[in-house]
Amino acid sequence: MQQEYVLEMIDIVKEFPGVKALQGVTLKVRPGKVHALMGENGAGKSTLMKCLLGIYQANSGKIIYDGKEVHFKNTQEALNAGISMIHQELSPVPERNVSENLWLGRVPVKGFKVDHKKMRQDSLDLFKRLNLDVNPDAKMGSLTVAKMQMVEIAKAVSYDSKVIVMDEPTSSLTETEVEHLFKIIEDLTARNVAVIYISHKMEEIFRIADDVTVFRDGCHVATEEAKNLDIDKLITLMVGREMTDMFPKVDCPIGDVVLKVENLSAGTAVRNVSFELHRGEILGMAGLVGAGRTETAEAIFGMRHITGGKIYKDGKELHIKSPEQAIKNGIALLTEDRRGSGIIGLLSIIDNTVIADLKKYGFPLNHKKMRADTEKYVEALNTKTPSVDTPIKNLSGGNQQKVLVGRWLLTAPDVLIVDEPTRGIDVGAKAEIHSLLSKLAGEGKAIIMISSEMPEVMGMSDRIVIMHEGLMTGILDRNEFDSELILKFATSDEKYVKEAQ
Amino acid sequence: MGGNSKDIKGFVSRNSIWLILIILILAVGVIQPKFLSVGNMVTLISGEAVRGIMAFGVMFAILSKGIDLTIGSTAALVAVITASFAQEADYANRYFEGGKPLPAILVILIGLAIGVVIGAIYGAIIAYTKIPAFIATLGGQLICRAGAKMYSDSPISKLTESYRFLGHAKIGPVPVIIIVFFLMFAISAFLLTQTRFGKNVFAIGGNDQAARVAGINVERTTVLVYVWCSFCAALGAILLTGKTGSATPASTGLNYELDAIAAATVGGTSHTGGICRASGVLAGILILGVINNGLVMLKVDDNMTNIVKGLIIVGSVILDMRKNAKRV
Amino acid sequence: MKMSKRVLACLAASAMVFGVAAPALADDYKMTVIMSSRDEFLSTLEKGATDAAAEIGGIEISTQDANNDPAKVLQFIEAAANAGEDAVIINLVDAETGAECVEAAGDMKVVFVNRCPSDTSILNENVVYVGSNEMTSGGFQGDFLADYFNEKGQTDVKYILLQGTLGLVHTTQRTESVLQHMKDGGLNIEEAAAPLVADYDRATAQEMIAPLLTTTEYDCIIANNDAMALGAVEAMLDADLDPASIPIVGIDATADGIQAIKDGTLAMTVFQDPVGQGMGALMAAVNMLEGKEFTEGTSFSADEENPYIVWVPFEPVYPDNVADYEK
Repeated sequence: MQQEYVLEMIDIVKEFPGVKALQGVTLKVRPGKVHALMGENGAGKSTLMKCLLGIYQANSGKIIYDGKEVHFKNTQEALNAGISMIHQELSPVPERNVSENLWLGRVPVKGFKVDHKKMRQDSLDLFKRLNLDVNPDAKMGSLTVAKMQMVEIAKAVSYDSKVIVMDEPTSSLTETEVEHLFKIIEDLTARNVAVIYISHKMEEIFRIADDVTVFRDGCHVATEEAKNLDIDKLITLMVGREMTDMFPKVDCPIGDVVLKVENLSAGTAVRNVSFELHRGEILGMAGLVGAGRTETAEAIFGMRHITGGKIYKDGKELHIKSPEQAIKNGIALLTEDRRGSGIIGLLSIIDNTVIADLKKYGFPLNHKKMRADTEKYVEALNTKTPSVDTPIKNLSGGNQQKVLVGRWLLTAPDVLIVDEPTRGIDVGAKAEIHSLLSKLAGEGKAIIMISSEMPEVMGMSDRIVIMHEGLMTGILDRNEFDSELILKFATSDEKYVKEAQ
Repeated sequence: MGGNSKDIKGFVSRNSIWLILIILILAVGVIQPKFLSVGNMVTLISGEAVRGIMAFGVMFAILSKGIDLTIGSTAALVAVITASFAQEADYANRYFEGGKPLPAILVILIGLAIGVVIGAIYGAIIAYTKIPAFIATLGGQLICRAGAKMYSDSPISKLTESYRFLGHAKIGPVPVIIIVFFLMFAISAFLLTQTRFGKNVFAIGGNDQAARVAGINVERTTVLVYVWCSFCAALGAILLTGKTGSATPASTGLNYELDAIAAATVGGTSHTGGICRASGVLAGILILGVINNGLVMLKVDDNMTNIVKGLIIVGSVILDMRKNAKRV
Repeated sequence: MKMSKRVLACLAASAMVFGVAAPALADDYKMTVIMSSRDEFLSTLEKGATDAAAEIGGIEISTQDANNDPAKVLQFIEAAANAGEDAVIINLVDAETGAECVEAAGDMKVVFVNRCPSDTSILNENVVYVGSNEMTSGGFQGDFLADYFNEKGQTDVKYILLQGTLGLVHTTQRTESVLQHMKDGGLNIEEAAAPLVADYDRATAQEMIAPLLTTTEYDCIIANNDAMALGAVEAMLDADLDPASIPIVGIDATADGIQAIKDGTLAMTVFQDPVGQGMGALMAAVNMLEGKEFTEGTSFSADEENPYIVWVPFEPVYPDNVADYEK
């Protein structure tokens, strides 16, 4: 007889020193269904999953899996029992090949010797079963993020998992890769595997989820079947208030050209890109992963060696060789990789805010002024933090991002480049960042916004530059915006020429 | 939020190392009351001053996720060179036969300059070739020690009193070396928290990519870190030769880098970068001092002393890592 | 003087490297001197050997520093054997490795210098030891202290001992013999503190002894070498104590040690003749190769029981004979 739920987590409480991360939440997962877990960052989704997998031990509450109460002490126990998790940040062993990663910790042996042949064959069988196109002999590190994820999923399947948790699996996938992932998920549910799916992307939820559970501030808000919900309802549940506008773009007067990029090239990643950026303008940059948008931003910001072309600011040619010089010239770059090249996790909000503009604080450093400036931006950007002395790593992604925006605003840039400014950020904070960008444009700053989210780039930009494999393939004015057109340019191999329009 | 009790708890947790130090001092003092005498405290601190100053240098390197293994050898090279310029004129065994000692201040400046140059060289190698600091400074260690041995094959002694002032003299009852030590503590703490340089080192140790994006000149800062390290080593050399009255190419400063790194580590400087407090390092130095000094007074065997030292170093890092892990 | 010699040595070394030196004669001997490390004493010993070789002429000699690594000693011996050299002069790092060294040397003649292999039965007509009898060095210290306290009419004596590196034969022998001779001299001796192991290093000794000086009672300070004795002197000066108030004794009679005796801060030291040991070792090697008595051409004599041991005598140095030892 089939049980109604394969997994029940009942009244789970988890406290950290000073914080009640989960205040008695309940999650019931049906077998063979996709159960979406929604909530702003910090709502407790990841904490709950970590309690499930034995990474954390809940203070109280019950976990019933497959009809029995369970307490996993670590992920290995959970894995063996049939619960696995595909983490947002994958942690493969990059120097070993795919099959070794797949069978890590349980390699087939013949006597004392690793049975490489069997390992390889098992991998091939598994991939075939899942319809995956992965070479088991390839080095793990050489795979794309999407492929690595596939390997992780294959690994979960190989453990005969009945429950697979996927934490933001699509955050770095291209659209085709996302489609493939969804097919695999369908496949899994057809085999009666339950998928717990954590994502911020509404469209995805409504495409694949059967059930939706919403958390807010460590509390369970609602569990509904997806078919009974719509986007507005869901957002209201998550945020706890009505969200009127996700893209509060205000039209503001477009001023003179601030930045002019002429035939900019950086190796093969950026090839002859030209555009102009005006005061008060938000210039969107759209394209698929690998289109060369980030690389273009890096070239302008002095992080990437320029192999050709010219950059002018206010009519003067710039020769920028380092971020230090770019900042001096009034250019700021909010990088895409918030953790890798944005925040300095151990340091306080103050230190993270003032680090790009320390010169301002003299010798010895004026700590009072540093604190005052930081508090000013924390307030202006509505950053939620216990204090400005808190290490930035303790904040949620959205709040970290706000601190970084504050860091750059402090340098009073004329040109602000933001690269995927809302990636991995919850809906509420996302809208706030959007309105902030819009406001900054209104104040006369020139903004370049790189985004892979079509609604965002269309909702926020005055113009959109579209790139594909290092080439600029199109440039659209606001009145020409059309997602199909953008997608067409994003896959086109032809360089944009003005006359072609 | 956060009542009084929480503040106290936070304060104790941040300063747990001082608590350990006080407990150690009391423990040794109970068994051997003479340990607590003012005279012995002066002995203890002046005994640790040289390694302590080196720890104030190396903590910057560790903070930036690097390391400096050259310290002891740099000290040896600086020691033999400065000593050779500061020998008494009437000593029969002068390095420069029949010469006169140079003015002490000049000799000291030469010594410090040598330190700065050495630090700049391997700092630049680390910053621009991106080879691990461990390797670059390991090479530097061998080269500087060999340099010291090539410069002289025997101890250089009979140094002028004016040269020995910093390491040997007393102002009233207070040895100058202790004054220099606390001065260097103050300067290091100032550099660490009150200057752009310090903030930049924190940033580089915390996340060098982010530091670069934030417009920090990572290379220049790295060079400065090793210049500072090496400067501290050179100053240590001058104090050490002043204190002992002799520079021995083969043994001056031998393994001092390890003691300095140990003190910085016990003092809570994280080898994964980004965490360092000057006051913690000061406590770390004094803890090692209490062990060195106290266990001799308790007539504890030399091997036992090293076992205790080893346990304290490893234990302190385990504690520290657990403390930091909790904060995630 | 030192400086210019160093320069000359460098020039000579580069001349060798560049092959400027005159081609070797047919009956030349090739040998390698392998030093455990290069401190002041051992460097002087090394120079004693190389100077003697230069004086004799026709000997191609090279030196190596094993940096206190016994494995390196063996490597250097094997390299010399492979290069077809005639003899090796070895200053052992580890006295227990004597047999391995002899084996590695193959057909080469072997002279151990300064540090005696712990198993002297490996010595024979092709393997000899040249050194000083460490039991006598500590003995001189002990005799001096016994006389000093007997003269004062004091029999209960508390001492602080600064030991060299543990595990070295001469550390043990120096310590044993000084204590034995004090007892033999009628003293009732007691240790004022646990023995301080200062590894023959001045700075280490100074640091280790500092906490004891004002907190313990002691009548004399015994050091296994001069460097550590001088460390004790500095520590006393640091503590505003007069080093001349109690006897501090060392061994080696280094330049600094001699100076300290002249200054009155060191009571006595024992002269170990590094030049004599170096020269004696080289002569023994040459004599073996030429089939002569080991000691020919030197003033040294062989041990009464073991003919393959050549003793270079120790000499005590006091304020009244210190002038003889000034260089």
